Amino acid sequence: MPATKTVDVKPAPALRPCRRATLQINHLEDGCVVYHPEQERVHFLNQTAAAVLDLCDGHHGFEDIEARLADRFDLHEPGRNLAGDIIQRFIGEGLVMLA
Amino acid sequence: MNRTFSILGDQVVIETDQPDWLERLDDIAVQAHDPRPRNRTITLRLAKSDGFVHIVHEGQIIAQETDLEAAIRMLHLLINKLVLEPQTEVLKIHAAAGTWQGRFFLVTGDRGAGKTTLLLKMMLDGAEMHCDETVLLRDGRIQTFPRKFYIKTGTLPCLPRVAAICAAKRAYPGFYGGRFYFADPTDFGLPWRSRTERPWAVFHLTPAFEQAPLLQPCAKVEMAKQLMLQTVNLAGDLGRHVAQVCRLLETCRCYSLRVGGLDATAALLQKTLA
Repeated sequence: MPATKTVDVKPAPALRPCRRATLQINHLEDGCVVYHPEQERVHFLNQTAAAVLDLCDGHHGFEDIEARLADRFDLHEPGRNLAGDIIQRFIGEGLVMLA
Repeated sequence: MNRTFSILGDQVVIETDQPDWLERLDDIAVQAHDPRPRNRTITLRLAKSDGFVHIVHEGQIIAQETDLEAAIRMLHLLINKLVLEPQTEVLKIHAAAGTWQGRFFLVTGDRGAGKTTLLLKMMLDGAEMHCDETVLLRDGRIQTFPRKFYIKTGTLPCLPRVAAICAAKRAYPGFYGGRFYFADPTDFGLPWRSRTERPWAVFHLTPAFEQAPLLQPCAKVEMAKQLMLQTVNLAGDLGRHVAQVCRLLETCRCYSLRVGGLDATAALLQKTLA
């Protein structure tokens, strides 16, 4: 059995994350529940992760998403890369692609 | 000879040629008020043959047991299965439901979390108890499923009035050990009604019987996960099921309830619902 290959998904800053078009997103007041039909998997996202997924529309770059997230949740901590970490997880789960 | 009753519009007829078995059939007969128009008739026959008790449906033996007690328990399961089987468009969620001062609420949680005991206590304090095991979710609304409550013998020391009622009943072997009684609100002189509505609140129970009860708001996303974990027929169009659960939670309050002492837990629940 081949060893699992680890892929570094650290994105280039110029790329714009875009959520998969087939996702079925159910918004709730404190987050959202996302169904990924190709994988038949359900993801339960808190408010922060839901906000990031909303911004992954192919129109916003990483820095823009980070800034908008910081403004919305008052997360102005130097060097923090919350949105980037979440997006990398989204990419790993197949929820988001880079355009 | 037969016993006839109605569940969610289906007429259930249980026939037997053994007169002394009729009172056993009364143990599982559903007396819930059912205003729905008559739908199907489900006929089952309980028959003795070659040392076995057979359960016959549409000419086929669908189950056999070596004793009547086990056969009655199986018959009860099969009746509920046959009633629920055609309801493919609904989600079947493992939850209890009641109404307190006009507010309809759901109680979910793993087996042994204390749903039935808490709802019985609520009923004795004035709540209307609709069901202790299954609710149906359709179009964002919950319909309670009138299955007889299973009151485990372990519940009785906590609720002397329930113990007094059960003293006049027959106990049946439990599915996970111990014994239980079939019961419903009519045993307590109370009405037993199904309800179809959006709940005012959903409570997710976690047992901690030696501790003080604790009620905390629960994120709706977390409650969606808990309800999906308690859904018994997640299959087919999973995306639609997810959407249904989320739609249910849009308008209702969600709480986590740590179940401690029975009186204190019921008081906390009542205060929240008032």
